[in-house]
Amino acid sequence: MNGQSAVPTTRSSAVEELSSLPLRADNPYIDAWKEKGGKVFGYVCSYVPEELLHAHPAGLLPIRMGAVGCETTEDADVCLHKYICSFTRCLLQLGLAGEYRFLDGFVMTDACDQMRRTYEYWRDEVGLDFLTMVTIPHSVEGEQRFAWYLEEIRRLGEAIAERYGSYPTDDHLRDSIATYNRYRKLMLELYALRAQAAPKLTGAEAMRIARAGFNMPKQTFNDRLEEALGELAARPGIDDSRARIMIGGSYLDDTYLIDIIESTGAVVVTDALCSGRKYIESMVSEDGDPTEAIARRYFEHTPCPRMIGGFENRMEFTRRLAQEAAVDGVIFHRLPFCDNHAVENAMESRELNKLDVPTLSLESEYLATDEGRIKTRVQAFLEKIGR
Amino acid sequence: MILGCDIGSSVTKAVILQDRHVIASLRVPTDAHPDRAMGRVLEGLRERHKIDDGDIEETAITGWGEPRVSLPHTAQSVLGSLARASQWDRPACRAVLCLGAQNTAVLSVNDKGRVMEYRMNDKCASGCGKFLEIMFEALAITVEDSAAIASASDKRISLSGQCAVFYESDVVSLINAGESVANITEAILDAVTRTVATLCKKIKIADAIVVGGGLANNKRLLDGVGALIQRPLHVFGGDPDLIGAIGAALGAQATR
Repeated sequence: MNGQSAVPTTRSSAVEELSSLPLRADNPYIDAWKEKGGKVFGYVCSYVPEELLHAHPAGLLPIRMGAVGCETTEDADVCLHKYICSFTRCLLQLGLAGEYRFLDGFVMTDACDQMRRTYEYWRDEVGLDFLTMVTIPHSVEGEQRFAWYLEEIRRLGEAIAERYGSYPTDDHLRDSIATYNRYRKLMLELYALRAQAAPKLTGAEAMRIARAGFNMPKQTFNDRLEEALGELAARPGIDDSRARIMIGGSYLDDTYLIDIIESTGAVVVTDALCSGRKYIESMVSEDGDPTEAIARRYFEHTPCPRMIGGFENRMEFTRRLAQEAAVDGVIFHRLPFCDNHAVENAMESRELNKLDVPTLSLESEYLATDEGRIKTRVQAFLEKIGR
Repeated sequence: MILGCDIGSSVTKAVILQDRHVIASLRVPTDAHPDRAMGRVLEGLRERHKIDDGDIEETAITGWGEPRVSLPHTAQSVLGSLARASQWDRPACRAVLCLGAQNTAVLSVNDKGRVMEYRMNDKCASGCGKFLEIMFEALAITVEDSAAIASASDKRISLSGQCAVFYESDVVSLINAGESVANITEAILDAVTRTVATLCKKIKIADAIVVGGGLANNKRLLDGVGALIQRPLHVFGGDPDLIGAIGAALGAQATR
């Protein structure tokens, strides 16, 4: 099951296919996977070790869940107050509406309190064959905390083994590690094409391609992405952009905000999003015990702002990306009630301003519709920075 | 004769009940002064209905302004009043929805007319009558005309804001983007419809619902809520705005 997925490919180009992959029930790769008897596992948090799922001999297709296309939260609002993060509510809404009925399992973490509160509803109201909660230490400093996380990861592997048979062998795990490392390497090449003086693709295209990566078998995606990189490199670059923008924030898989920014003539050339570059960076070591190597990568990747400490690490990451892509400004986005990211955005803004990198902080619902309000702020920001 | 009053945040509704029949009704603005509103009620009864203060055997009051009325009266709970009035109007119904200016309430009743489960909107009034008034002011239309105006809409727009202030910013954006009044009106009513439906889904409702309150005559809202929760909705007989006042009077009569 870890081989190639047999989905007929008749589209004109890889870029086109990846940037228009239908989601959920309309996703042909998920259909094909299920038809062959494979299982599909969803997750949201970047502390869920995908390789461990991917390596399972029963054929688990891990997908990073999103809520693009959600139009209302009227059922999720029955369960959760409107003062719970709107992404969380949109995701639950899709679950309640049966949009995720193809999922066999959902691996949650307690990293985000708001998402954690939906566990019981996924269990009791949505109903899945497999649902579990991985606990994440509140700090990533110290070997004892790593030992805790590693134990959680092994426990996850064992729970899956108990339900679907057998823990992945070391060979399976090493294959998955290689696949995911290749995926990360190729995605970094995609970021490099954006960081050029004349970017080869828009931020919206990049986000749509990344989203395809969340929702396709990684081997197939890697091959298509490799083709796409060739196609993109051969394109003329965007040499008339008004400004080079970086966006930062938590989970963003809808191009809504980027579309507004790019409609003003700016180009989003990089990001410090949990669902963007932070998800991509850091390789898994191909030596030693594979489960431990996987755990190490996830434990030590750029930490989530919900961790105690780690600000310097995140700031260094943001600074490096801003420099690498020669950005003119950084736009931070936050979802209402995400206190961790609200504070993080303010702290990072302050540090960037010291380096004369202008910043703008925006807040919008996941199901955003107030285009005018956001556009006014973005335009004013570009004028302020003289672009 | 029993005087039943429902002192709402914007309008005070009053009925005179005799032998369980409404023989007079009137409404006066509350203007944040329940005592003065009560004065206007008594004056109106004298002048328009020839009912003297002395003819009134008992005064029963419910609603937000009740504790601030100095006139001797019996206090009636809001939800109890809604439950009683719904049973008076439609004895077979086991649920009530009241769409007021600052409150939306939904409750279920048992076969004895007692309140079983209930939910009300939070402190925030987005999705209530006052909210619609403010939104429609920006569009220069009235709540009364909104359903008819929305029926001409030809495009679905969703509003994301979770509070009235954000909704207003959405609406202003849409106006500036040149969106038609019909489409924006429909979007606002749709947002309120979903908020009300969500509230209704929080309790178990077996069958038909009696709907009262100032917004009960808005056809777009009622049809929408009915479709979302899959239950028949019946507008409270006569004037749905009087549901609370009638319920208060019935409460006083029951204990006599």
